[in-house]
Amino acid sequence: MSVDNVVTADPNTTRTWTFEKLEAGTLIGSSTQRIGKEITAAWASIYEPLDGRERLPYGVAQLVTMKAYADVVAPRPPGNIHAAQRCDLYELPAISNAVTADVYCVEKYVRRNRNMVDFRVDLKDAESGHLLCQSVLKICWAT
Amino acid sequence: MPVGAKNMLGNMSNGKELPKNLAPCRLNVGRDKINAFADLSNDYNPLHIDIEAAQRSGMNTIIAHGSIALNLLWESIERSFKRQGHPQMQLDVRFRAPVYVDESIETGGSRNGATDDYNVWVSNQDGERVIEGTLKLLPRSE
Repeated sequence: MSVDNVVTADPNTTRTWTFEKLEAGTLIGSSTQRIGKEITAAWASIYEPLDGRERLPYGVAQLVTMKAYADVVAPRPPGNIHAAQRCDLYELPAISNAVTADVYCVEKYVRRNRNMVDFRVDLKDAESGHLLCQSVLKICWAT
Repeated sequence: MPVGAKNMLGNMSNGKELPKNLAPCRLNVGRDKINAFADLSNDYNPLHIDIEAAQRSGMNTIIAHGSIALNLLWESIERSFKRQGHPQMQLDVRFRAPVYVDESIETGGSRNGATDDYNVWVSNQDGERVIEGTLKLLPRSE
């Protein structure tokens, strides 16, 4: 998807992110991705191409957010389940621009005997710092 | 970012009337789609690629990434609002049920009365809602 993909996270993070290890209220790391035109083709391999679309699909902000989460919060235990998500979309990334995603662990808690973790991902234009999209992911954490 | 404006219709619609319903989008979630999305998102959770791992987690078979259905909903939103330009918006959803490989899903959404809010969902071929939530149009910031 990305031409450049730079992930900045704790270099000591070689062990799996367990529920115990995650700390609420902390920045886990950041990911900078340059969005190339190839994403449109990859997107079209999954979803029906939209006639006349001259910019990136709306869902790209969501996609880049999830990729940043997957890149930064790694390795993760197998079996996590994505339970809910809120996304405030302000502006779409532009083709060929770089975007930076800061990934925070906002909260962790136990609900119905399940370990839950809330992450926030702030997606910004890498050059201007302008906030493009802010998402909160609720993940049921396996271990 | 500004939120909470009481009536954003004029600001959001660009002079165009907001749709009553979201344009439906459909997708057959084959293994090829799941694998393509794993490559695209770098998410190789075994639940999405390994049948045995999925079954050990209590699933019948491989399940699709939740984002596959969520992005279909974004496609539906884009098709519904393309006449209005690009409104700023908040999409808040819960993943109610897994989407299994080879299932078919379809998006839906209806405007909530005279507000700028929509109830939105994604259903499977049995009519079961796998995603439910709300879409709110936000006041445009400069």
